[in-house]
This record gives sequence, structure tokens and C-alpha cells, in this order.
Amino acid sequence: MKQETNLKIIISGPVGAGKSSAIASLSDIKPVVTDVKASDEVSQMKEATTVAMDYGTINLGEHTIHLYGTPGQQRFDFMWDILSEGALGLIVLIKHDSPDPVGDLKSYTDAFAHRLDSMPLCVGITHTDKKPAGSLNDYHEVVSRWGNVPVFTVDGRSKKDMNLLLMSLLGVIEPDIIKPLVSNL
Amino acid sequence: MNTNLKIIISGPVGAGKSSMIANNCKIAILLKRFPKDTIKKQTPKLFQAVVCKIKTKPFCHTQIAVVSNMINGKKTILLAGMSQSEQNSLAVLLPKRVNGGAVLLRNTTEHATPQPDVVLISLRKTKNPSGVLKNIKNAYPGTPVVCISNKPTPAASVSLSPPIGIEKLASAINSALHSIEKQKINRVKPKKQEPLATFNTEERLLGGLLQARALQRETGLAVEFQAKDLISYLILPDDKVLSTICRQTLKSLCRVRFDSHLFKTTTIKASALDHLIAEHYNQANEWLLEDFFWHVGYWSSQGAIPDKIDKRQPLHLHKWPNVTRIPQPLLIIAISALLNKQPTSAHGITKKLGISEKSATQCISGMFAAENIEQYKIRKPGAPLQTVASQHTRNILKKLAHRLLAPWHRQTKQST
Ligand SMILES: Nc1nc2c(ncn2[C@@H]2O[C@H](COP(=O)(O)OP(=O)(O)OP(=O)(O)O)[C@@H](O)[C@H]2O)c(=O)[nH]1
Ligand SMILES: [Mg+2]
Repeated sequence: MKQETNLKIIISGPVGAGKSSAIASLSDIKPVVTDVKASDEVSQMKEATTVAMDYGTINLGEHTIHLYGTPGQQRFDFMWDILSEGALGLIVLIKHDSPDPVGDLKSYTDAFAHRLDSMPLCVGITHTDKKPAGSLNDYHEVVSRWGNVPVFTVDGRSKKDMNLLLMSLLGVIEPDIIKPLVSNL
Repeated sequence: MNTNLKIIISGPVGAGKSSMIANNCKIAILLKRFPKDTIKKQTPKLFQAVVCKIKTKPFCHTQIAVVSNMINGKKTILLAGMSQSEQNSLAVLLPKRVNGGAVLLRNTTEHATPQPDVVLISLRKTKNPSGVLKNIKNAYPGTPVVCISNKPTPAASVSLSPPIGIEKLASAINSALHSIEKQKINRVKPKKQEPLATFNTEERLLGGLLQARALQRETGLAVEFQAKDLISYLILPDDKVLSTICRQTLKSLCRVRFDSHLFKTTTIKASALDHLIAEHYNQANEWLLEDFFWHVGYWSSQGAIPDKIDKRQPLHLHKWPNVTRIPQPLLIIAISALLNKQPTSAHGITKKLGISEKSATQCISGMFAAENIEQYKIRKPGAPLQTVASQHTRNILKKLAHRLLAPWHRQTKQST
């Protein structure tokens, strides 16, 4: 039997949360983007938006980690399920300076809820440089039904922040994965 | 060299403990009725393996003390130099007077009797008391010997001369057992791993600030905490903290011992808040609450953890810290991931992750102050996800983790 060597991680979240930026931060290849010039209400927020998906990879020699970014707009939500099937984990990015970021987290995790009993989740809160986040308790509350979920403030454009978020996802999957990295620290 | 080694054979009723003893020991004292046909030659290999592991001579020379389900927890007393009738009356009177109960072993041959907890020997009828005592001591080194003799016997642990009542005898045996227990405990002590050091939380800034935070939550009002003139903190209801001192000064103050009687905590009415802030506080010294407490805990540590943490009891993850905004993010992820999956004591964290005590205590103190961890009582509902990554996947993910670490490697290289 062929062993599963290609693993995928899904990055989801509302329009402008920083998904495409996050994939660009993490990916080894220039990401494949399906951004088009935004029309309708999105054009008020940003110039281009993703319509099908973003795609990037982390190459580990013979193995590849595939990174898929879902389109932010709700009208493309049929893509979310297609992309997330069999994924190793889900990263949800939430734009903290949007009108109802906690509500956004709720609707995105609800959309993936049927997978989250077996798929690890972590949450990145972006744009906190524009609007500081006092405490992340409200976000923690939304995801508490899946146990302790990592919720960090991140900047989608920062490689370090995104690496930490992904590292915590690995820690949720299996603490032993990151243990060797910290021994003797 | 210690030639008296004991092996404990334990297991449920019917597991085969007695058969194993009967098949492998030169002399077996079986304290239960034992049908002969169940003693078969089936276990010597296993037994030899055990014996080899403890690097001793072939098992037939090893003295084996067995705690079977009949004598489990009871002390074993070897009787020597006594007549049959003396042994019989002691069997009736002595066991119930020995603390924790006792089982009497009769001395059939000198060398192959199980190692007892105490030897009770009568030297009244022997011609060569010192020789007999010497033999016994050689056969059971380290075992206390209670001796009944017409003359004082200094070589014995306890020496009794007639007339001896049963109470006096039991009390001598109990005190001999007690002294050997004490010795054992003393011997074990230095081997015990030194648990992590603790600091007195109340004497630090941290203690006062924890109280102020509790008061803020209780009243819903802003709370001002003063440690000394000119050093004060304002905990605001919107999870922010203002301080009259800068970050660097706070860092050094966290390590100082304070007289907690001088701490002052006051609630501030909403109407007075703006004025107070404008008068005393500099917006540049503003913190987010969790971040603030995390740093105060981290800086207070200096290789110790707050005494409010019970260091022997497991800790578990209450809430993931916001790792992107604190020092040592990789360590914090590793600790959080561990405590999320499996509650672990402060000492266990150091051991399991193989990290330095200094780093561990700093991170644990920070996480404690920021309420990221708490003492484990019962598991929260919504228990951690049980993922089933195959070994193959885990190996790939280990590689991935290594890759993700690259920015920190580069940083270390640059700074060295
Ligand atoms: N200030 C700030 N800007 C950010 C942050 N994260 C991402 N950005 C910027 O925000 C804008 C939107 O980011 P994208 O990565 O295009 O967002 P997206 O989630 O892919 O959006 P859609 O594809 O439209 O759903 C870009 O200009 C990014 O550079 C952040 O944490 N802070
Ligand atoms: Mg995009």
C-alpha cells in the first residue's frame, strides 16, 4: 500500500484576513493564487480577492506539505469542504479590526465543525497592529468546545508568526513532534 | 558487597507466584495450601532472566524474600535458637503485637531462608553465643537482630535479658523495625530528585498584583496597586494595565523582595479614573493584561516557581498562551502541547522535555501568572483532540517542525 506522504493544511478565514499573505509567508514556492480584481462589496475593502484557492508548498525532500488557502467570500464556501477533506489541520485567520471578528470566528468554525472532531484547529488573529487586542478570551470561548485551541495574535505577513502558529498545530497533533526541538534549551 | 538481594513477586490471585517460588527456590516457605501437581518446572528461564538482570550469582544462591498475597505488607521475623514450644507460643502471641502484623519464619538452614525484616534469636542455650550471632549477622547483613541472652550482647541491635514478657519482646521488635525503616528512608533521601525550588509569592510584586487582579474581577472596577511610593499599577476593566514605571524597571523590581504589608490595593471609581490616569500614568507604559502578568511571572522566577504551585501535583493547560508576543515561544509551545495532552508536574515538564530547569521555571511561572496553566483536578469537558497520526506521518511532521524552526536558528547564528 502506498503510504500517505503528501499532507495538506488548510488556511481559512474571512476576506482580507491575510490568508494569501500567510501562504506566501510559509510557502517555498511562489504561491499559486487565483486572486481577481475585486468586484461588488469586496472592492470597498481590497483590490484583489481570492476566488478559488491559494496554493503553496513546504518541500521536505521527498515529501511535500501542501498549503491551501480557501477563498474568503462566503459565496465560495462549497470550496471549503472540497479543500479540507483529509487535511492534517485547519488554520483560521480572523481580521481583528473587522466589525464582528468573534462572530466571524464562530461562523468559520461552524462551517468546518463536522471535521473539527478529528481535525486539529488553530486560530490566528490578524491586524491587531491596527486595532490592539486586549484579551483573546472571547475568541478562546468560541472554540472551547474543541478543547484547548491555540489562539495567537499573528501578522499574516510575518514568517515567524506563521511558523509559530503552524508549530502549535503540530503540537496539538502530537507533543512529541516538537519535543526534540526544545531539548537543551 | 550485598549478597542478600530480594525479589518481590507480585500479581493477582492465581497468577502463578507460588509456583514460581516453589520451582525455583531451594527452600520455599509457602503460606498457603498448595496442591503438589501445580508445581511444574515451567518457569526457571523467566526467573533466571530476572536474576541475571540484577547481576547476581545463579539464582539458587540468591536469597529470595517473597511477598505473596498472604504476607503482603506484613513484617517477616526469623526465629532462631528456639525450641519448638517457644516457637509455637510466639506464633500465637507475637504477630498481632508487631506494628502492621508479622509472619514468623522458622530457621531451618542458615543460608537459604528468605531475608527477614528482623531476626529474633535466643542465645540462652548456646555455648558459643558470639559465634552464632556472627553467623546470623553474616547471613543477614543489615537486618536488625533482637537477641535474648543472659548476658548483654553489644553486637545485637537490641539485647534483652530475662525475664521477658511478650509486650517487652514486641516493643523491642517494633523499635528495631522502626530504626531500620528510618535508616532506609535516610538512605533513599539523597537519591530522590530535588524538586524545583519555589519562591514566596506574597513577598514579590507578583503576589500583590495577583491580589489586585482578583479584586478587579470581583468588583468590575479599575484597581490601583501600589508597591511603594511612585511605583504603581492600574488594572483596567478592559484587560489593560498601566504602570508608572518602564518595562526595564519592572523587570528588575520583579526580583526584589517586598514587605507585603506595604502593598496597597484600591478600587477606583469610573468617575475618578480619567483624572488619575492623566495625573499619574504614562500611556507609553501600557500593557495588555495577559502579556503583563506573563512577563511579571517570567521575570520573578530566577530558577524557581511560585509557591502557589504545588510542585508535586500535575499542572494542565487552561488556555494556550499568546506565544507570538512572549519570549521563548518554542519552549512555550512545547510545554503547552505537553500539558494539553497530558497533565504533568512542574518537575515532570523539565524531565519530559529535557529542558533546563531555569527555562522551565521561568516559563511555568509566566504561564501560571497569566493563568495559562492551573493545577490539575479533573479534566475539562471538550478534552483534547485524540489525533491518530501514523508513525510515518509523524516522521514527516518532525521534519516539518525542524524546517519551521529555521528563522530561530538563523537568529541564534546571527547573535553569536
Ligand atoms: N496591517 C496588517 N496587514 C496585514 C496583516 N495580515 C495581512 N495583512 C495585509 O492585509 C491585506 C489582505 O491580505 P490577504 O492575504 O490578501 O487576505 P486574504 O485573506 O487572502 O483575503 P481574500 O483572498 O480576499 O479572502 C494585504 O495587504 C496584506 O498585506 C496584519 O496582521 N496586519
Ligand atoms: Mg486571498
